[in-house]
Amino acid sequence: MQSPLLSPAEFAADAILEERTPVHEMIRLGIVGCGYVTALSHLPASLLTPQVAVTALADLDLSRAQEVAQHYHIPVATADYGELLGQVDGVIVAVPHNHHAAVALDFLQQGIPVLVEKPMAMSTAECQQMIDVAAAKQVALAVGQVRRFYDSSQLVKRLLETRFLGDVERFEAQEAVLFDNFNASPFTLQPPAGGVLFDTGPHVLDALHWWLGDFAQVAYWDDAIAGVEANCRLEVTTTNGVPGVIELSRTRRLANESRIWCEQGVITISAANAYGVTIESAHFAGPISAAHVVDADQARQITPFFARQLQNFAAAIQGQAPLLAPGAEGMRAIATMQRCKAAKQPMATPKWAEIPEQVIACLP
Amino acid sequence: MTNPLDLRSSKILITGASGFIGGRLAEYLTLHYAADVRCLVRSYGKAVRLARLPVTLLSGDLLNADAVQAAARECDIVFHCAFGASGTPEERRRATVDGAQNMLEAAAAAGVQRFVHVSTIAVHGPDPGVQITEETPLQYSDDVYADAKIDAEKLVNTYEATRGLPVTIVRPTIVYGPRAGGWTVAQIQQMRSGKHTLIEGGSGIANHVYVDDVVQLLLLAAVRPEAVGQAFIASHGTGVTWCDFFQHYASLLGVELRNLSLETIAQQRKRMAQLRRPHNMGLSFAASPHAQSIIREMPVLGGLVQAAHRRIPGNVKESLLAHAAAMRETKLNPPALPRQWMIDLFCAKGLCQIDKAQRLLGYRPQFDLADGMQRTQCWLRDVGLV
Repeated sequence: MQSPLLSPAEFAADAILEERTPVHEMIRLGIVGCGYVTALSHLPASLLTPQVAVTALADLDLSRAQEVAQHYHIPVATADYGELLGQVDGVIVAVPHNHHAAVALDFLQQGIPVLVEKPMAMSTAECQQMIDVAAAKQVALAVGQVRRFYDSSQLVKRLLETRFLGDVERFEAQEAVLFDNFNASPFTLQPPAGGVLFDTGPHVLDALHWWLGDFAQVAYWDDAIAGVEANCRLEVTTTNGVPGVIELSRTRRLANESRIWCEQGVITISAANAYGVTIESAHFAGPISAAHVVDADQARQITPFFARQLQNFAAAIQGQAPLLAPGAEGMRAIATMQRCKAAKQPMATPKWAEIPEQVIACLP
Repeated sequence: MTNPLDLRSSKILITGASGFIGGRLAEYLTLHYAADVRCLVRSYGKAVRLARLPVTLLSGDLLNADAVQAAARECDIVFHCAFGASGTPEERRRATVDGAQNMLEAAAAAGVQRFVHVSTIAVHGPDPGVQITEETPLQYSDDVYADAKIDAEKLVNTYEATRGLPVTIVRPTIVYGPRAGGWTVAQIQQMRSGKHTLIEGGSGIANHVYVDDVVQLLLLAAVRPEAVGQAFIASHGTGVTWCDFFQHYASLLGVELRNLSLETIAQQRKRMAQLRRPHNMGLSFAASPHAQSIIREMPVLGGLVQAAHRRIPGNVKESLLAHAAAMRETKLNPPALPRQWMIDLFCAKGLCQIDKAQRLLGYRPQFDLADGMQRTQCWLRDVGLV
């Protein structure tokens, strides 16, 4: 069986274009949800993936589905995803987080393979139900943990597995997506699916679980007062006893990187470079990259990795390769996030955000 | 005299709550008063801090009368903080003026008990005199923001006069503090990029006010019966120079403040005006290597130019080339000249008076510049801007 860790060469765009799959052998793919990730990532990636042809789109906002379908020359656009049943061989579920499980289950129960966007679902119970149905129907259930397909992420996995820098001693991860920069979907700011933990968290937590294992202990703080959090902090210890700190934000400029301190050096993984990592050690210092990266703009290009994800999904549907991020793997981040919410503590209010006593004395 | 409104038992609508002043107001109303607050939000991307609070987020644009009507329904108090902050001048004007009209109409239809309209000190013009009070005349200044705010104020007064809507207008001055765009973040960014400049040594008066003091006045304006039908200036009430104001940011960044004199600005404007004359534009173009290579390769024109070159006396040629090079330099690297309203504002010596708000509402600003800047700097560090 083919290794799920696919080399960049296997996915080089020119190689793909030279080996176009005959149309009758292509997997007919449907996509439910036509938001940003579909328009900006999945559909461009599908053009780099010869094994699939996106044949149908569904979105509750029919005009949005039609607009995206027209742009990508997709024959079917519908407001009712039920119409995709019987028309597709696999489906990507990219709807608001709290609807992931219900929509995915509708397809899995009909024996249709599913690639569900991250987070896989809102609870481990939902995840387990999805896993159980997929197993019963013997269909693929992939989770859109696309960072597992990044060269940088796979490099870290290998470096740690081979103990390149010795045992891991501690780690830190910081990631901020500043919302002022784009028009966010309303669901990302409303309970139950909103908040930075369920938005950015699945990427960061999944990578850490993949590299370092599950967490034995989790302490969690966030700044939500009644709505959804803009900032959160996790202090964790892995099952191997490695301590780590994770900070996620929508308002603060953070380093946007993970750092792993090992016995013989430090690995730095930047969220802005999907192709390589930086190592600092007594024996070696500098960037190492799995592919030739021309500049920072190219390093941020992640469409090729969405294509890898899609190709892995297609290979799994055809029984040619195991999934790199199957349901059981996607559930690990959900389990941690669920523990976070259960153990939530309020984050200390910074001085600048307090309501000062002297003002209160003047208020009506 | 009627009793003050009670914020704790009122239903309150805030527009512009995803912005700077509206956002801080929402924090006071929810965290201190536990008020029932709903917020009309156009861009969810800007509402991340707001979304942490116990508020109801309503999606809608001020220009959508139906959405505005629905938002105001059953509300007791409306704080109208939103205005046209982005887009073309026409779009900004529409959001400010037509948006205010929609909001006023909705508030009147809902029978709200107080409509607090957030205006701006800019309605008095960029340099309205030495003592600026609420009675200082409103003055159009060809600035989209200020002129639209004047028109919005006129609408507010019309709704009070014709529909009996209990309104109060608040005119903040230079508002700074955590999350302030114009007078905090933008200044920091300009200083970082070397584009920030004082004018005339920053000797004009900065009528500063820390955001929490503006919120204090908004809350007083919302509940005090004396506020109905009145306008109030929201300022700290003490004058500092612009140099003093900007020095806080400069010190934080470790940069020197740059200065432009009015004389230098006049000279640079003159040079820019010269560049716009047709013969100078032609010279500037002709001085570019690209244009010269094109002309040389044109058989007839190239020959003529070279012949002309030979006939022009050397000193005249040198002078022409130097002039052309200077024009080209000005075209390629135009000086960053401040806009006129900035020049007027930074040179103005007027001090905004707050006696009226103090006398009628009991307004007591709590943050002098040092205190306010200290909190602002905490925020700048916390969010990684410095």
